[in-house]
Amino acid sequence: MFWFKNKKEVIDATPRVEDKPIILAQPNNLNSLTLRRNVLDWKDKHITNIELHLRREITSLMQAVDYELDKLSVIDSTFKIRKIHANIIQPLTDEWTQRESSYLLDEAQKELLSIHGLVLDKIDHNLEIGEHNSNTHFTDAATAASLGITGIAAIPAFASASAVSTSGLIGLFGVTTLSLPIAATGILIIGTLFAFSGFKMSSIKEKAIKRYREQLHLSITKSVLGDVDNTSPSLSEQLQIRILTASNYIINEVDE
Amino acid sequence: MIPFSIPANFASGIADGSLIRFGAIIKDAGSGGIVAHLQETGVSQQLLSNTVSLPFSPISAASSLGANVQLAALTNMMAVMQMLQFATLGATLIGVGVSVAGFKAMSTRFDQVQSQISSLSDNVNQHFQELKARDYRSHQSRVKSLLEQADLAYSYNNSTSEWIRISHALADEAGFYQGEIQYLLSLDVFDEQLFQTFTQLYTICNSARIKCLMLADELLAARDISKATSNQYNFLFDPLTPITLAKQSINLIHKTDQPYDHLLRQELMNTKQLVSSMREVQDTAATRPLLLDTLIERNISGQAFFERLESEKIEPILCLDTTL
Repeated sequence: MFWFKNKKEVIDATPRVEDKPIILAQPNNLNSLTLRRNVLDWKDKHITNIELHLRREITSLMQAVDYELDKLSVIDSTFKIRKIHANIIQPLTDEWTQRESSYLLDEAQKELLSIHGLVLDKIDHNLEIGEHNSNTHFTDAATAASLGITGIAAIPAFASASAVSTSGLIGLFGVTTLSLPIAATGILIIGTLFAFSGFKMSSIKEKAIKRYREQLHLSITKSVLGDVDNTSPSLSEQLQIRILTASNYIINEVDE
Repeated sequence: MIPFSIPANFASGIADGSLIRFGAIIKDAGSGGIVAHLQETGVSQQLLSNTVSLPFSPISAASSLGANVQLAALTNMMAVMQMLQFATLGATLIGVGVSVAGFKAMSTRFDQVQSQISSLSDNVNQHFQELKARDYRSHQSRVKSLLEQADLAYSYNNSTSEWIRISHALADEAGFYQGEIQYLLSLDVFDEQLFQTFTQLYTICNSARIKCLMLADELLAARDISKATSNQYNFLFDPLTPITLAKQSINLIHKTDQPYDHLLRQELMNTKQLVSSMREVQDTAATRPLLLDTLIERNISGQAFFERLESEKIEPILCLDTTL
């Protein structure tokens, strides 16, 4: 809520609007009209500034998030998304939100102080970025994991087949060697599968991270700037409401 | 004798900051007291009568009006307004001081503005559009008729009661347009052209109301109505912010092949100008009761005031000097 900072000091040092009954159409109330206009200009400027600033600065948050995502391993991106989200992404957005909110409100507050010596209350800067709420990354992760397992499982399967064949040939050739052609074929297939699986692992990891990244970007954009479907106010709206509340409060006093 | 002086007399004080222009007054920066009331004359009304969108334009835009208006006189007027540190021509929307526009001129302007309503937003269905258009035509006819009656009232033996009656009737019409503006601003989309149109129609009704009361020498009533309209303007226009209007304007744009941020900045240029004009309207409206107070204090009749202003041939703006 809106309040007077160091209320007693302000009362002592600065004449408050509420101390002066406002009666329009009297020359000595011109200062109130000027104050009214200044506050409206202040509101217009800072509500606009909040939107433009956040639109501009959100790219730095996105870049920071991307940098962290680029560092993720296959395991991280597959199994540790929740942990990474809680330990890396959310603190990153919290810190950014805190920093930008403080900057914007401080700027607005400084100017308002110069207009009338009023200050804005502190806002709850915490911004809950929606966690990866789609199951698609789990599908990606499951696909990558199952392909990898198929590759690993193929080794004993082909070795066994080769061995069986070899054991069948032992009596024929009297040697305990692997059938080279069969072993060679098995190795070729295994190698191909390994190569395929490795490629897919990297591709799917990228895909999973890409999807996570996209959803994170979308979620951050909605949380910071809002969209038509937003049920809870975005950061921009919250900060703008702060400015609007302060402006309405002063103007109501001037008009009374 | 009404103590008018010319704005040039205050130029040095405004330039050095010892005098400040706010709304339609010049005040002393130190004491805060009123030094002079700015008041448009018949010259300014002649210059601005053909320029429907001008009140929403920056001062610099006036020079681009071309040969249709008396360019030299208009340039002079803009120079005066710049000297008085008006950022926009918003004040001319409601009249600097009180509107001296003749009722005939108001009627002509009303027609010009009303014709813009034909371009109603295309997302309104046809039937609804026809109903609305009929409703608008009905109010247009009513206001035109009232303005004609007001002009005719000059030749009555007892004009006073006629002007008072017309003022009351215009209040109803102003109420209609106020409601339309309120509705327009409550939508998720913002149609700037429609807003400008309704705002002009609304302010014409209010200006005519106040002029009628002044001509009837009901200066106290004119002052109270000025106060009430000032409050209404504040109620309507205080919540406007350039960024909100810009975002709502984008909602109206169907073509979205351009990046949102680009569209936003583009729209913001227009809406900043618009809000700035509306703030000028609010300030000018807020200082109008002060002018009426001065007229009451100095026993200057409304009719004498208008006669002097309408007879002015050179200065587009005069200053009612409170120090003389």
